[in-house]
Amino acid sequence: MLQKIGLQFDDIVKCFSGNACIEGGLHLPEGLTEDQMVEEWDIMMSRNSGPKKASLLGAGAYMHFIPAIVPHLASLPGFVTAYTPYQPEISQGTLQSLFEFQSFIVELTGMELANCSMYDGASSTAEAMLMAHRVKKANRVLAAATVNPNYLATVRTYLKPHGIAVDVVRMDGNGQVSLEDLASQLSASACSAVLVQSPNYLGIIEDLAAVATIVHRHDALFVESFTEAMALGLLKYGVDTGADVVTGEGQSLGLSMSFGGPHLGIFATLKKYNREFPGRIVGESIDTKGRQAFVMTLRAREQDIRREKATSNICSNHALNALTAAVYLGSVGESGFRALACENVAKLKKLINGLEATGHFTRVFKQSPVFNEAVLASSIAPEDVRSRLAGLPVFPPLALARGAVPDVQGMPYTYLVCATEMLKDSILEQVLGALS
Amino acid sequence: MKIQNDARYAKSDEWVRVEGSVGVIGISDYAQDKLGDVVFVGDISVGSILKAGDLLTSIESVKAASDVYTPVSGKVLEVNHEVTAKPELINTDAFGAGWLAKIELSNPDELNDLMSATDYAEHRKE
Repeated sequence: MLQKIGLQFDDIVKCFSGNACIEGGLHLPEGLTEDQMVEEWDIMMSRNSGPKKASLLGAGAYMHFIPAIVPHLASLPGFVTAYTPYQPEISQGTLQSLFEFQSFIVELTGMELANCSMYDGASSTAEAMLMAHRVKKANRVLAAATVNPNYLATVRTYLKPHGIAVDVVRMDGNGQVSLEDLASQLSASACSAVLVQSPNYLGIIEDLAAVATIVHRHDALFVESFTEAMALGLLKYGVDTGADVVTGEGQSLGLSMSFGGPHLGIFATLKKYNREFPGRIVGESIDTKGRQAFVMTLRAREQDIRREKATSNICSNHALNALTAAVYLGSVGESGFRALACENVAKLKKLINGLEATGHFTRVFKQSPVFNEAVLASSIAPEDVRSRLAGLPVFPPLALARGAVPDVQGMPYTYLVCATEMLKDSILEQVLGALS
Repeated sequence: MKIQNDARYAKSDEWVRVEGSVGVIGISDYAQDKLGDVVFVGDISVGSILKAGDLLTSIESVKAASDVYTPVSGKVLEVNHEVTAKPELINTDAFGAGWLAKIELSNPDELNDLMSATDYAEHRKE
């Protein structure tokens, strides 16, 4: 092609400005033979501190138990190698599995329709804000200060090129979004959406219905988000809490943490937005012989058809991860999922009680309800916490920045601590022993 | 290709038929044929003031989504609710029952900028 148009490769490279290009080559080392590479790899691997059986670190990715049947079924070659289901006649298996996933999500989120997944919780949350802007047109959205900071940063990245302002609603004295500040900021000028995460970044459960009441007085869309999908097994979301969109991260549904991805974006909304929402949706229909058939539907919203007017530039989903989540939910079942959620609550309670009993920790925002994460103040510094936990099969908790939450007398360090069903009593005992 | 002789045409395949001071607007038979089976017609706000060339609505078929522009300026007086309920009327009767909106012409001279039926037929000859 370059020959045809009379150009050299360098002519393309010249299009990139100044320091975008690497000077003088990549400086890669010499190639290794397979056995040399294995040897180097073994040396690297031996530096790992041993398998982790539990994680006190949450903050957006969670260690949960994954039943063996989940990766077993999800890794069946027919699922792993399947292409995007553009041709429904040869993709019925894929399409049906995604339809099942959508059905699970509608039930769990308490909404009316769900797409067949997006990339991750952060980007699907950003997409929800863009959808709200398409519907309501106001060039401003509000986000609670208690939303995961990475999600907030992603929202800003997505909204900036559209010229949509993102204003933050303050946190109140209970670690929840301030309803007072919310009302005042909504009255100040028009807004397309309000974003509240529950459980929020500090692990605290927000009063979603109370937020919805205020939001709907001002003709904005209410976007509920979550980073911990397991909370869907116990807490109320969706239509019953006044949501227009429920969006978040599905990694807790049978996906490993994998250093941050690929994870699973969950997006559910109301039927009245069926031409405005982003992403793929699978519909149930019949074929020419009257048999049940599944197909990607409402395609006219998508980029290959709508181009720059598409509801999103996403033209894909995380099908294999969505399938994995569907297998996970199918294997634990409705009552099992609820039981797991309750177990998470119980584990956190046990952990907090144990940590407070050491005398070195105390809960911040004591009166606020939590799910499986909470903030604790401590007299033990982060380097010390890490070294005490070093020999144990647990990831240490996140140390929060100074000033993130109100100071506690004598306990200048704060941690976001997570406990899931993985925190077995034997491991908990070791943790408490190390932190006493 | 069906053509309606008493209508004026935009290059973008919309037609306008004048009834007194009102322009009835739709898309041509050529356009519906290219679109394929129409499944959805987007909302049009009665009372909105439009300039010639403004976006009137969007029509979705099974394979495409197409913007429809008003060929004339004026206030939207009426919207065809039958077509909202049965979008396929655009396929079966693009010049008749498949009309989209009625606009009170604010500048009838604009009709001179549009094509006659003969010119449009020539423009879209295959």
